[in-house]
Amino acid sequence: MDNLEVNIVYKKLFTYLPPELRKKIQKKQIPEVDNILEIRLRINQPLHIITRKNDIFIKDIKINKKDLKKAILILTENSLYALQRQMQEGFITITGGHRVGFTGQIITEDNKIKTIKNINSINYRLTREVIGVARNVVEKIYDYKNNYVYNTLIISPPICGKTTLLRDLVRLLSNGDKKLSIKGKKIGLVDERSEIAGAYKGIPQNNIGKRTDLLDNCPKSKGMLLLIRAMSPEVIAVDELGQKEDIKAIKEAANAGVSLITTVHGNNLASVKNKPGLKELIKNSIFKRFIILSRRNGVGTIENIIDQRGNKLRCG
Amino acid sequence: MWLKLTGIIFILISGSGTGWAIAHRYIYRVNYLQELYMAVNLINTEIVYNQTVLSEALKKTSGQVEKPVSDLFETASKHLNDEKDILFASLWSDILKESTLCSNDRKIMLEWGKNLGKSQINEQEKNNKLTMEKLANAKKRAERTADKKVKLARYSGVLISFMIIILCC
Repeated sequence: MDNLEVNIVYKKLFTYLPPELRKKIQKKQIPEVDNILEIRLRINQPLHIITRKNDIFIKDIKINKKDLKKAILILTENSLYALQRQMQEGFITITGGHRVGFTGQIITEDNKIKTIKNINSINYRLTREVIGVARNVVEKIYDYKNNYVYNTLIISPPICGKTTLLRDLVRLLSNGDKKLSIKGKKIGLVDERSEIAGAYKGIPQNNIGKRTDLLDNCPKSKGMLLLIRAMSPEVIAVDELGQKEDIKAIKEAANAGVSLITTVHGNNLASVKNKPGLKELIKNSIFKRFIILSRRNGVGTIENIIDQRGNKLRCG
Repeated sequence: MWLKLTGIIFILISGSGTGWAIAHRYIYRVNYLQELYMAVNLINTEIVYNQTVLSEALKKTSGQVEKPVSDLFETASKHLNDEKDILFASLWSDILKESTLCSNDRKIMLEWGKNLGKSQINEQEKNNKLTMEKLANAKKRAERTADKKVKLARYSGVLISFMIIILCC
């Protein structure tokens, strides 16, 4: 991302901060402003900014309850009711695919989180579209002989670039790449958190490719089945597998002959092998490729690419 | 004589006109409350059934109600769209200050605006339904007042005109 694009991203993100807070921040000289990863607001604490290299507290900008209330209203466009489901998950996604998480007082009903109120902290997590990162891995997940994409699982701890990689894989495979001899594929993208395509009112704000059909803000399991029935995808891409229903839908997609690219939180293959649901998928060799990410050499470090037999196709 | 006749006609028209203008205010208020009730009902539908973002819900509603209520909602929608960091409650308060609502009706709408968009769907529905109830009650009282006062105002206008004419003659 060049400096101009970074500035545009920050300007857009800053519009989601309360005006009084924004003015105070703009008066300050924030170090490493081009490398901000997170902006955190915590009640009665100084403003906290996390960059790629540093952890900065701005001592003379103290966050109060009013700041947090205003921030939530701005983030939800004065429409908290419209983001009820996301509020239950503890984060919402704003234009550009940036994730904003929050904590506070949880209200439960029937043992499930109904909503969060009295919010005491907000975390603005900046995402960056990085075009070209998929070129480092795509040849390893593409079967050139049969012209299809191997079912691929991206394993990564938080903030290691898995969504960025997934987004670029979707773009590259959707558009195809003559230099890499990859034909464009029809991709069905289920973007449950609106983070991959960063859609605003259904329109993707990020580049997800010309052959991609997007289901925005849709539960993964239902989305996958809808795509299989209605859109004849060659590849389905979803982010952050976790629920039982997701695993069931993955099996159905695999049985329907659709290639899958998906992600899961974990440090390595061993850490995900025993996760409920995934255990069975991995044991039955549903996934043929595993891409393991880390932050060892910065966000997006590719530690390894492994096949279903455990052979390393690439070392970090 | 022609001058006298002109004067009589002028007094009659002004007096009756004043009476009708006063009467019209009572009718205007009843219609205003009716449109406000419809508008809040439409907003409720957009929120509860479609979870439409507030700026869009206001715009849709403004297209389905009459002036001057449509103007209030359209102005609110435009400001919310143009200024992403504005808070609805304070915007709505400024818009209502410029409106021709009487103070009691303004209070009802201000209270509604203070809670709009700030909570989950079921709380929003309660807020909307409570406001609709208040508007319906205000409209009933306004209709009762109008029943008494409209005819009185119109006839008073005409009668006072005649009284002035008789006194002058």
